[in-house]
Amino acid sequence: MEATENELLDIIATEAIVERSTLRRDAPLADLGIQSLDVVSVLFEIEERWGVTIDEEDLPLMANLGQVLDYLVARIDAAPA
Amino acid sequence: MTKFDRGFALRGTLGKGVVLVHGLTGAPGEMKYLARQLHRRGFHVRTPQLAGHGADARALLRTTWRDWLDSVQGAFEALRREVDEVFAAGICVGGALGLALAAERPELAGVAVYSMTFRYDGWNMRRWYSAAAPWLEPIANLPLVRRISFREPYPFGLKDEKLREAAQKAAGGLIEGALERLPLGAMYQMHRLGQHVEQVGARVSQPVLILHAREDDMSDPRNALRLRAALAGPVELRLVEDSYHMLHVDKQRDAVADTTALFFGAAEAGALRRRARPPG
Repeated sequence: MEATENELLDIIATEAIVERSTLRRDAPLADLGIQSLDVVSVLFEIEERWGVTIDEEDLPLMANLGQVLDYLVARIDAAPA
Repeated sequence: MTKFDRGFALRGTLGKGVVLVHGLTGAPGEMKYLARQLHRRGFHVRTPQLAGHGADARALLRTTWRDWLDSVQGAFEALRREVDEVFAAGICVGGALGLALAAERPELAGVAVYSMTFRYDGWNMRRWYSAAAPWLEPIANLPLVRRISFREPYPFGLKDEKLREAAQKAAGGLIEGALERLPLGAMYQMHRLGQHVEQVGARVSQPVLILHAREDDMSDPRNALRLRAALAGPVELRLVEDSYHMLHVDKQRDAVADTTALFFGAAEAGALRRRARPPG
């Protein structure tokens, strides 16, 4: 299964209701207006779209959006098709 | 508007708009999911941040429910300039504010009220809050007492385990700008607002949708029945299964959004999204 960073950025912008163009890899989620509830919504969307279940507790240790994106892409890509 | 203002708007295509109102100590961010779903159905959405919210308890205690209503009225006026028909939907205090607006503004087309709360008498509140309420309520707004606050107990109005875990672990809270503790002075204002809604209910002739979780941990369904009895216009009351107090974000959030959209005159949606089941 494969997910692109662009697909994930679209989901994040939609779920968090933030401008897609403001999403910078080096910015902390909170600085981008992405709250914890939005992260859970993103994970629900990933589960629905790719069938991959990811726990939210894996994410808070990550400092910025880029790390979150890399982690999500890796988890989705590692899932069996 | 303050530097903490997190209100937002989404432009729709239907010619209909909805003022989405967050709950006491809540923030606009808790309405995002509902806002997205209504927007997908064509509604224009405005989600104001209530006065005194988004910063800290001190700011909240400087406001009354009339200030909160002013915030809702501001969003209503803005929507009236943008669409032909305006509705209001809110959770808990947010729903009560929608009704207070309906009593004052007959041009508001309808209201949806989720988890109406006259009293915190749900199954998870009885042990401590309900026991204290009889002596607490008369003094809740006295100096010093009004600053005393309590934390919403686990499971935080959430039946969905993922959301509940996130609420427990998120360092800054699940919702950006929401307060973790409810000061008694603000609870006093909630009670005053509830009294006001009962007093003006006979003037609310618009259609009202009341959704309440049968297992609401914070406010018993009797609150919904009490509200229905106070209103003059047509009321549709549905008890929702498999959810707790935070109906608009919890397990049945898709069904809550869909029911609201249909009540406000949206066209039938296609297949409901995940975990959706019609309430009631």
